[in-house]
Amino acid sequence: MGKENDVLKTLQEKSVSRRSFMKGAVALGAMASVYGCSKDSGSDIIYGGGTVTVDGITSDDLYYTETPTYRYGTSAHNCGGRCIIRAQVTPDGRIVRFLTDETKYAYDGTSIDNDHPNTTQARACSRCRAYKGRLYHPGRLKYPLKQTKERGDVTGFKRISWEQALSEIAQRLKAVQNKYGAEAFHSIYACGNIASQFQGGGYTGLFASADGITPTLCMLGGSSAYTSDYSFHQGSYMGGYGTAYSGMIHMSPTPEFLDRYMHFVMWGSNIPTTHNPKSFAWTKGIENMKKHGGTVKFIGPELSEIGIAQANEWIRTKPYTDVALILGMLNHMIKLTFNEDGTPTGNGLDVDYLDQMVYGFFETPEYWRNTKDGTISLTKPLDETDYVYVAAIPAGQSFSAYIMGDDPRLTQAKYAATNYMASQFAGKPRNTSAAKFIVADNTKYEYKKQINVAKTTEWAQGITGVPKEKIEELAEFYLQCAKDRTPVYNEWSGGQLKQNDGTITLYALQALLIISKNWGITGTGIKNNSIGVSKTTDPNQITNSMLRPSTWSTVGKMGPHPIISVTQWHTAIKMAFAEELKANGYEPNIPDWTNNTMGLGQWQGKKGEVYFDDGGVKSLVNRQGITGVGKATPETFKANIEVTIPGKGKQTVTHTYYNFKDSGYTNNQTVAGNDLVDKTNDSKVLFSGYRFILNSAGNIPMNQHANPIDSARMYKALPTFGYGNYQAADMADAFYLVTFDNFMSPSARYSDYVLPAKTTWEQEDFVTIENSGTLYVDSVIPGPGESKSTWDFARELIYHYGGKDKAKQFTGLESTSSFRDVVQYQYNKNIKTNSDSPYYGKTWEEFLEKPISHAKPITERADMKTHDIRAAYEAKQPMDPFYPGVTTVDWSLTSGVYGFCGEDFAETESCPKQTGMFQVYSGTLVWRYENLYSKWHGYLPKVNQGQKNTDEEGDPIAWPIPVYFNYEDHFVHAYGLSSSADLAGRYLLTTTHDRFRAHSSQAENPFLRELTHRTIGGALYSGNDSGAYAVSNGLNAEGYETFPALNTLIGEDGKPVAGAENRASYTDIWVNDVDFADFNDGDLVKVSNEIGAVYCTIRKTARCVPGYVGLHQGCWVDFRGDINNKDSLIDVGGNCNTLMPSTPSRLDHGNGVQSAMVKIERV
Amino acid sequence: MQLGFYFDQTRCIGCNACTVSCKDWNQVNPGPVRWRKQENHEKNNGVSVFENLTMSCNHCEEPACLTACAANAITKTDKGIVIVDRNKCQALKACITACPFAAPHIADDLQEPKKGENWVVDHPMQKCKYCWERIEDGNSPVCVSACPVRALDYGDIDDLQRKYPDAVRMNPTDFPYAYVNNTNDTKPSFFIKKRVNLVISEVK
Repeated sequence: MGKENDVLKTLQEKSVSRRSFMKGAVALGAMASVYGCSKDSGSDIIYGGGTVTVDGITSDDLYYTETPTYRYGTSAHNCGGRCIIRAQVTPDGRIVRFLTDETKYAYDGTSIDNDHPNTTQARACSRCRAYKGRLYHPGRLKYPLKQTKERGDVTGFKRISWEQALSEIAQRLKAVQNKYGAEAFHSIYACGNIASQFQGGGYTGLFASADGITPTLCMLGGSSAYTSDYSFHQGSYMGGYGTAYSGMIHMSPTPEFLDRYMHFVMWGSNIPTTHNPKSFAWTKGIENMKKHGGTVKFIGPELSEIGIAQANEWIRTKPYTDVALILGMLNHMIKLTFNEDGTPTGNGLDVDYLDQMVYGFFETPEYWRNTKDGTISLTKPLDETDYVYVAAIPAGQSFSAYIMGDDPRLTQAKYAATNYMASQFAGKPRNTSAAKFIVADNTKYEYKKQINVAKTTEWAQGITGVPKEKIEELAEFYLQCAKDRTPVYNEWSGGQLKQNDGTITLYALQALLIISKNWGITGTGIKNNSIGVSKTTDPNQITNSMLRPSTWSTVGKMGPHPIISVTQWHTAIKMAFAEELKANGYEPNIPDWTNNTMGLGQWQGKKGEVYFDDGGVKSLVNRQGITGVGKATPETFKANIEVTIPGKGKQTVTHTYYNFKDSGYTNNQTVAGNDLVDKTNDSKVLFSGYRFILNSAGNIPMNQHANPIDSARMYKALPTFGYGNYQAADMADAFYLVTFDNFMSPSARYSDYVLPAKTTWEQEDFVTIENSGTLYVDSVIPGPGESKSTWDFARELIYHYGGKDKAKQFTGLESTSSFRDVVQYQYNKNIKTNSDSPYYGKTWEEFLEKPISHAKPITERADMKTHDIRAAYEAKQPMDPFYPGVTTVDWSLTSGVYGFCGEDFAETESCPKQTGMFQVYSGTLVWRYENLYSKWHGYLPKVNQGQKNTDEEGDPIAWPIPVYFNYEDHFVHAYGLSSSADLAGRYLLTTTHDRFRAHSSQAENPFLRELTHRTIGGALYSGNDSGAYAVSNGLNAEGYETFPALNTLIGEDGKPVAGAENRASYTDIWVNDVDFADFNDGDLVKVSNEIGAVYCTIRKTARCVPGYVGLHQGCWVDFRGDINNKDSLIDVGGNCNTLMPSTPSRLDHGNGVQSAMVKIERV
Repeated sequence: MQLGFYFDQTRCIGCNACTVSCKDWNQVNPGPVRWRKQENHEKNNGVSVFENLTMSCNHCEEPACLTACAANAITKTDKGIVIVDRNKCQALKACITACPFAAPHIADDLQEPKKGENWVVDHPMQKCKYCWERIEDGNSPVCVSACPVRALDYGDIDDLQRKYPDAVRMNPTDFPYAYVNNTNDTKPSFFIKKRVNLVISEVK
């Protein structure tokens, strides 16, 4: 059989289907009948049979016509970018195929240079081109469904009317809000099924809640919100606030700037893959850069597509070791700068600059800095008005002490009067001690064992796998760039950061550029997803504000409320229902919570219990009537509390806390600090948490978040209302998950209500095309069954929630007005009548022919600029005092700190002030971690407010310097292991984003599935489960719509069902070809760890470094086995999150689900 | 006149817009048959490389498929486009092995569940037809107009060679991985700008 397989595989590689050669041996008739399009779509996408004659040749193109009709649209459903697609629409109203943007002229009539990196012709990628597979998929949801049996039971969905669905949903939502407050309603992070919604805050950003609450949500009684997103949470959190580097980050090159000699370092980048509008700007921009001799270095464990196309060099590293690589580079830089006896070599780093502008690299004593003239005083000034207090760096704990470890040279490198700052400390050594960090004895964590050792290039080589000579070369490369003022642009990737310690990676990258003095000139810096098309948009194009109903300005707004980490909804549910979960038999699949040796406290199911000490979740106690819509200034109370203030010692200050329901405090009441006691067990204190989740075309609840096994167990044990085994007596006390989506996704399967959504082409939308202008997208074809547009769903839900007048307020027209009505109204009234408009005088039909006015590429050469701070520094003499003013943002104030629209800190006095210098030692970073959300924590004593900054061994979680946390440590903790020895023989897995899904959406599209899925032993492109994946069994006579497993071709044993061996497809896991020399490409393997197990086919490739495997994210979880029996449970869908622990990432408590350590065995 | 394709290997990021748009435009269902394929090749004459290639029928000046077809189903148009008349194809499959690049394809019942009215076999050969109807209408092949990174171009091969002087014609020395059946010289109308070598550091 093996030999035969090889023959067939060869044939398949040659594109002849093995099935053609095996015809008769495989029964396919039944499958063929469900294949392709749904019957009700009426489509007939069969190649061949046409009889049109074109220039004398008979064409077999079924849809050829000399006068085709095209309609403009764009991507929808969770694409990071926006390109243009055009659908060919048949006279009978079907979409038969697509083209992309071929516009040749910009809005002002100038031609678009299509070979310029800033071309505004917005070409779409395979995701949009495959859209037919989505539109006409047989599994599209058609009717509103209500769960009637048990949550998660796919036989329990009963078809109900929209009327019933919306009235019940509105009733339940109100009940929850009335008892627990607006924040108990959470519109979970989701892509939405319209394009602009995902962008958040666009015209139809109806349910987007990142950093704010939309008018739609306010009309639904208000809701809670989340910070940032699942992609870039770590980057958003760290964006410069640790190091004060943010001002310099934004000197990223534009595509036209790249047309010069400079360098590009890709730290794992794959933006052109995940964010298609930037793909040509990068490609052509870098091509131009290379013509001038510039180079591209790609540093990472998996060579991305842009690396394949553009890198001059691939520096292969083990995943998540970037910080160690940087520490090794810095160690080498210091050795190039100071001889072993501490004397300066005159080479290497610019020491005068480090003394003057970088805080915490070397040790300094405490001092007071005059913010007017830059002079410092080593003693406390009598009048502190113009002074900022700068704390001492503890002996042996500067960043350079950490880097040099036991290497003593910096203890002999004395400050001398070579610059103003150094002259103040003259005679003192730059570090008074070698590394002297104190951590727990007998620790099980590797990073602590290494905390005082020298971070040499040999040390870094051992961790990163990068040869020490290469590390030295890289260090010297950065020094040379700085010396020559050659721009070196650093692109960090979301994937590099989506791990437990991702925030630290960005901290270290910033520190590298600060210390090596690569900052302050255009093109030098660090950013993600920033190099995109430079363009001038049509000043007269249609804008959001032209279309937005004026009535929206009359909608009441949510007042201050806790905005918690995007990932912590899970903890917020568990906190709210801790006792019910315990009573209903929930067993967490979270080893670091169930294992009481881990120090987080064993899961007990006690009231208000949280997994992980997250300050945001702890904020979610009942504030019904205190916060919410229209509560611009919620009630507060005050407490007098003793705190330690930097430079001033202990003082008693007054803290302000937001009040909570039944606190017993009156508004503005002041209490003694020691009166604040733990009221967790007070019968009056209710933990509101999250109780009603609206999931608008998202897949976070069950798929895109870590650990779906745990999620499934949780959903099954949460109380229901009116059905199931665990019914709440009161409507307000149940948990609700409402999903509005196109498919019966994993998240839909665990929902109480599932509502069918239209997608783009079936509903109207208004979007911004990233590379061009704004676009109105009309509805071209009807949606399946009773599916609704997002607009109509929102409008009708508001109607049921608040009545006809509210629905009118939503549309600005009538209570029944569609989105098209709204756009058409404005179009007729204000747009086509405006002589400046590109649509002046055009009928609606003429407008639809091209409802976009193309932006114009910027083609002028971009000049290099010097940042004003760098210019000011360079204008100074070394002996002049200089107060850089990099930033003086006070972290105790929320302005400038992402994601917190209210004031979230109870105290501000104890916050270390920013020094005005760059900071590679950041007391504010630690302070912030410890005090976050404390203003919401008035139901707790001072000691329990904020976030606990100690691990189970009593050492800090948040350190002031960028420490390398060995990745094994995270897994030892999260998997409940005793040491890293337990991880021997495993592979480190990451979850790169490929192009063929968009997060957890588009996993159902057969045109995309076949690019990432294979049959067992099959060649590339052997997968084809079209028509058999994500389908429905249809409605039965009793009105129930039942659903089979997602992949109907894979049986209960995880293997292909009989007869489907040549169709049943598994997702590829990328493995190193040398590591897996004993395996055959295409072997079915089980990938497992303490969290779960998945089945995949292996793809042997040299694109992965040894020891590393890549399971690309976005597959849909598809369990075989019992959710409560993990030993037998297999996810045949290959969702990487099945292997991911629940631990939120360090500092930001974001999404750390890119990394796992796994065993791999052949099935 | 001989129409052909140009491909820039230094630009392709493997997005498959070309292959998917080809299927979409030409109504080829999901499944193994794809008129255009995109792959990353990791070995070239034994040397480790990472070279992307997207390739369809190369509309050779001397097409091996045409001469191999005993049913006379394959012809060349006056623009040099190699076309199969599916009504004439008898599924003799000689073309499949004759083509050095395995450009002709034969589907199965799943991918092609409905037989064409005038076909003599269930699944006649199919392959890239250079979107000839689009060419007649003055448009580019759909793959070329699809490419987000502008790595594909098309035109008369003399013009292509003038426009891209550093491109080389498809040949078995530079691109051995493209020749899956044989290395016969069929004068493929396909010109490629080659990827320069990538330096890969050792992992210790």
